[in-house]
Amino acid sequence: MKLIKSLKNNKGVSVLIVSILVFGILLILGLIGVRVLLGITILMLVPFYLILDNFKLENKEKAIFSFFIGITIFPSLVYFLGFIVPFRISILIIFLTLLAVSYFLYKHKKTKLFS
Amino acid sequence: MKFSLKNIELIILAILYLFALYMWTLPIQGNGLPFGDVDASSHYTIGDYMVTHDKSIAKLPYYIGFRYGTQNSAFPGHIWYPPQYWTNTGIAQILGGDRIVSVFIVIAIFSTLIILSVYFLIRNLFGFWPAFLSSLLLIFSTRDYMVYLFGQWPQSLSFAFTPLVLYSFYAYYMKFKGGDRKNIYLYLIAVFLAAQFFFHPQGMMASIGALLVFIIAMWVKTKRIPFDIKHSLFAFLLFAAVSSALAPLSIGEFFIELVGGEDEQAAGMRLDLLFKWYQGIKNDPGLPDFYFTYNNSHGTLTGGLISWWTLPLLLIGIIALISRRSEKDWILLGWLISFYFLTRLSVIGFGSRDIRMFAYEAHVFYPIIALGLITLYSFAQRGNLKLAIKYGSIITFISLTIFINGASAYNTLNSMSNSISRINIEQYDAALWIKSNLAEDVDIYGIGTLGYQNFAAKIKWLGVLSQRHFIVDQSKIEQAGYIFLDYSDAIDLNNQDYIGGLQNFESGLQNATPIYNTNEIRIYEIDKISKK
Repeated sequence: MKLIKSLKNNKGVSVLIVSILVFGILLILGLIGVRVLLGITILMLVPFYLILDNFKLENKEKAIFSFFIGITIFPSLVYFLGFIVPFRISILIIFLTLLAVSYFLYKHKKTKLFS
Repeated sequence: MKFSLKNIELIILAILYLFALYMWTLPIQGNGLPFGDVDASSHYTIGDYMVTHDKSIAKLPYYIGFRYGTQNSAFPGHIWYPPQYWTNTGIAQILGGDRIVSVFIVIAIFSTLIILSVYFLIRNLFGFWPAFLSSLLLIFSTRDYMVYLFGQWPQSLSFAFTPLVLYSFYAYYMKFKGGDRKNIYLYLIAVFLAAQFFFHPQGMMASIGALLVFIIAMWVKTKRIPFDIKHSLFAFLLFAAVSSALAPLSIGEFFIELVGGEDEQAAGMRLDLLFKWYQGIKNDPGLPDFYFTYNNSHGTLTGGLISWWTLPLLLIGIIALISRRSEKDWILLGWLISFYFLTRLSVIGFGSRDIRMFAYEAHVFYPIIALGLITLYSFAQRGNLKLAIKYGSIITFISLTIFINGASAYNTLNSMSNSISRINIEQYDAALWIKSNLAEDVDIYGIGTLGYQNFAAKIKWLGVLSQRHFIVDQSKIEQAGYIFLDYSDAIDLNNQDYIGGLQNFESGLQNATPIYNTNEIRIYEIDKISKK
């Protein structure tokens, strides 16, 4: 996927930026801060980035849009599923489902809908 | 490792945002207990309750129903806001593994997202320096950090979507103008507007207002509708579908408010407001006076001549935008013009919440202020002198931002760390004891906690931390099952009259034995008192 290619091409810089953020957060807010920031990034940004990766958007657009969409749609789905299954489990299910959706879109993006 | 300009910019942006997080989390760096006035505790409690019980809720728990049970007119007794913000705070609790700090970290992240979204918009429209300077200034925005300290957190997050809406429409329009179509931007706008509806409709109004002005301006300029009607209609349907599907309990309430208006009386036709920026408001019951003075809002809370330093740049920026009037200038002009009208809706007799729209003033002003600076040094002649003037101006701007606005922001945010207005450790421990030991449907008469007479913020926090219903009206003491007698604030204030008043009350409890006793806080069971 484009995200992985982009990370590979800019491996050094990507590692440096993530390190600055993680180390900075660790200094300011401790381990709880790192857990929260990395947690919401992985849970909410990554699946929507992968979904948006199937559309013709620039990397910077995908990065910021996916985070903002993630903090909107992800909790919505967790909330509704949380009526059926335990709240904690619903977080995991929604995360995995969104990853599956992004994979499905990736596999089928050459169809008419996404071309 | 390649250090291209793009990569250096990303590193600078990461450091800038870290600095923003450092500033905004000052209140929780030395104190892991909650803060926030008015509705803050209510924005904390639903997520907290869902995590405690490991399930989602639509119906309000007993203890919170007394305060918010009638807020949702369409579904009384049910959640009165869409659930997204509160679910996020619940998820943060689980991720962080901590009940309080995790939530306040995610609140700080959400409240500072405006810094990133403004950066994104301005960077794409006007380049690095205007974006960097706008975002730096926004870190210290009094309006924004006060909203954060007061606890109107969903509103802050909602406004952060507006720059994305504006960017998306601008990107769409630039393609559309060239005969190309990139309808994905219209659908993204639909999702962003729905998000604003979920977090706070004020943000949605701000975006729609700015879009309308931009659309009208482009329509007049090009003499054709600046969007594709068919796809815009699909985008609208997407917005309606997402909003109603993901916030089914709030759609009805939104329309009831929209059609029926609010309880507060509208100001009526006040044409004079059109000619005053801050409308001469003083002693407003819901907003502090600093809200209506430029130098306090955009300089320092202590005021003074130097705290007006951004105003000339703002005026220069506005003049530059008006004189150029390119598409990207119209994005900012549209935002500014709509802000002007949305902050004086009462002129046409529409509601009385318009002054609350001042909350996003800094988001509109600061990019224009940064552009004002760029305009100033752009007049310089070419060559080394121009470079010296450019970087000299930028360094001066950064210095003034840090030493004037930044110092004021630091003092305010840092002072919140040890504020008496926050729950203290004795109160938190007592709340945890209640949560573990008393039934969910008990009523507790609270006395002694700072501001208890007016059911102020701390007593509300006690209620949500213990997840129990507190009453403070002494005439209703018979309804209560327990008495929560709190000396901790009186002791912290070292106020002997305050302590004496509480001792006097306690002497009337007929030497009953408290079921919880830490010397500073005692809890009595009323049945046991009566039997003695």
